[in-house]
Amino acid sequence: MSPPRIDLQAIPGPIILAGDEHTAFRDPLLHHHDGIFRLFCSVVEARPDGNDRFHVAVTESRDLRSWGSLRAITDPEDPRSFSGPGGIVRHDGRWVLCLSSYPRPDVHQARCWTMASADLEHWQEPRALQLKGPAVPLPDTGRALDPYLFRDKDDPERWWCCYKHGGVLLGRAHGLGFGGTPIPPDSLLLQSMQLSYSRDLEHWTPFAQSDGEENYCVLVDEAEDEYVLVHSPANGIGIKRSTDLVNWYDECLYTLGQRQWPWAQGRITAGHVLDLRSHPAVGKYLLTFHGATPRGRRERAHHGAASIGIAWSDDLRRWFWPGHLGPA
Amino acid sequence: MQSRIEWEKIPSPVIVPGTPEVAHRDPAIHYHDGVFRVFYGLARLMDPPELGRVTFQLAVIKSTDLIHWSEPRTLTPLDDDLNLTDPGNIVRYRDQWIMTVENYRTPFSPSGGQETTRCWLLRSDDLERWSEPELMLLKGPEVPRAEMGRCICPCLFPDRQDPDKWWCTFKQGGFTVAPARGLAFGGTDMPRRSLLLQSLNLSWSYDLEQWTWFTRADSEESYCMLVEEDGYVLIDSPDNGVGVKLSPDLVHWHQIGLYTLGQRRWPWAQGRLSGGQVIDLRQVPEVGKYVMVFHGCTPEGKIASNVHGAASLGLAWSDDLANWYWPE
Repeated sequence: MSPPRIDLQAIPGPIILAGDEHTAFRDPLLHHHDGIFRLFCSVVEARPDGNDRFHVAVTESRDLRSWGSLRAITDPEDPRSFSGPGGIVRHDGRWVLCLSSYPRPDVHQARCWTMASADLEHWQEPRALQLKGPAVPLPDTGRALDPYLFRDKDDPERWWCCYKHGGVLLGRAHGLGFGGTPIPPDSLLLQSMQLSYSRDLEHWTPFAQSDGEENYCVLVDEAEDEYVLVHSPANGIGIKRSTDLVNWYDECLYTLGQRQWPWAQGRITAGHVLDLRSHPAVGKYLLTFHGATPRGRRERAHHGAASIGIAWSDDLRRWFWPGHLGPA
Repeated sequence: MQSRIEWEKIPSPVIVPGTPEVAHRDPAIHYHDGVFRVFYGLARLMDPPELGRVTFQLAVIKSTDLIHWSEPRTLTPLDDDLNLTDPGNIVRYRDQWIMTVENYRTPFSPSGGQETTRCWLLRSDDLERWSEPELMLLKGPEVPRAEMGRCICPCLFPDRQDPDKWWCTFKQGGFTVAPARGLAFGGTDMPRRSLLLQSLNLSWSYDLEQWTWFTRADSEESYCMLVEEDGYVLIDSPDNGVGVKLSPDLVHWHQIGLYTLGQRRWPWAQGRLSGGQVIDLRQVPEVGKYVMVFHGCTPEGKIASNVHGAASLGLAWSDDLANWYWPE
């Protein structure tokens, strides 16, 4: 018997977790298994000295309307400040979640990690990923964050991990002599997406670097035999496609309802897409993302008083959300 | 009374198909008294084709239902010096219709090459007969025609607050950021990506004759500006696709969208989809939507001639500038 259909139109609003000046909710990752939606995210607690602490937490829902209370899966007091849950894969009979450490103020010590679980409830201690290969020890790898694990579209034994490292930033010069709105300046980060591959999630080989600013999510579009990269440019949710992970085609950039959403007008970003088109209870792509307020972003860019929102699509081209259901 | 547009009966996204000999590019859509007019540049590859000599004529097609279109009618003669093309918004000023265009000079133009291209203004009482082109001294009266430098992509739009003030865009200068050639692996035939920064120039005038240069911003080319409640909305053409940016003051810009529509299914547009121009007809009862025209080049056409591209004109529509629809 088919599970009851999720009534997306009954979701009361686009915000799932509402942030404020003290607590921000960022970097969502939506997972669905055995009828339970789990939303993993970064929780950022503001501290008076500015060295805000991050941890990863999870909340659960069966209908995308009612969500349980948040439960930490990394220690909120851990100075490594785990954050940015990037994706959950099934490997060797376990669930494997990848995530970042983002210690403040020493953000150059950010690294990529995985955590394993047998049941999606209990998680082992994080293990660091040597994404530049065994010859480059962790202290020498440099700042690395936003890992996302995905399987090769042609070779089921090969795993890929993309992560953010380095790149070239093109930014506007400060000090325009006129205008002066509170809109944050746009910038462009090039060549910051790194790709490594592995057959065991332990030993990694660096492969390529490409343009894709941060907060990666990669889907395989089997019908098109393509990889689909969901990433975060200066503002919005970008979609790129590639057949080979080297050459990319910018398909679209979406900012959803940002023009009407004060809670997301500082920056809308960190889109994560879960493909449930073939699931009878959903039948859609589900997008989770976070939006920062302009004031929150100005005061603490990594905090942003961010809230987590939800939208959905049939085709990754047209997006709908509570209150914006499209043409009848 | 004008009957409602039957969107579902529009048979194809292509409204004028291009050929290797004749391309249809850079459209501007206008609606008045129940008639849609699409003005555009008709680009003709002259004999012998191996010379690559392309001439441009301003042309128009008309429709009352967006289903049936008249045959293209050229408005300007075949003349390598004149080469009028790329119309911007058609606006109403002092009981006349005003259209801006460029004269796209080529190496075959007797009076000078590409660097002598300038922006021009045409006037009409009836949208059918147009005046001789008037030069737009967009850098002000002190900078004469010979010293202005190459200017293309003019588009007129009114100021948000001052009803007597007019703005005009033009493309000049800037710098290109592009990936290095020669990646040692991969190597698909996707078009090479690039990014042109700081090439959008803005000038203002109170009489469409005396212009004052104001500022420059990032936006590649083919500008169209809408004036909306929360700011100016710029529709532009990056290296591929239709870009949408928002600004409250014409100085600070936020990218709010990038759309490639059905390009992945459209061989006629897979060389480059660009030249998007949008008219806001949401308040016109028989239309009730934004309507977009654009052009798409074939890959072979773009390789053979970047300014011709065997381009075809296409059509799409939207309720919100975010989700776009076209005949599937």
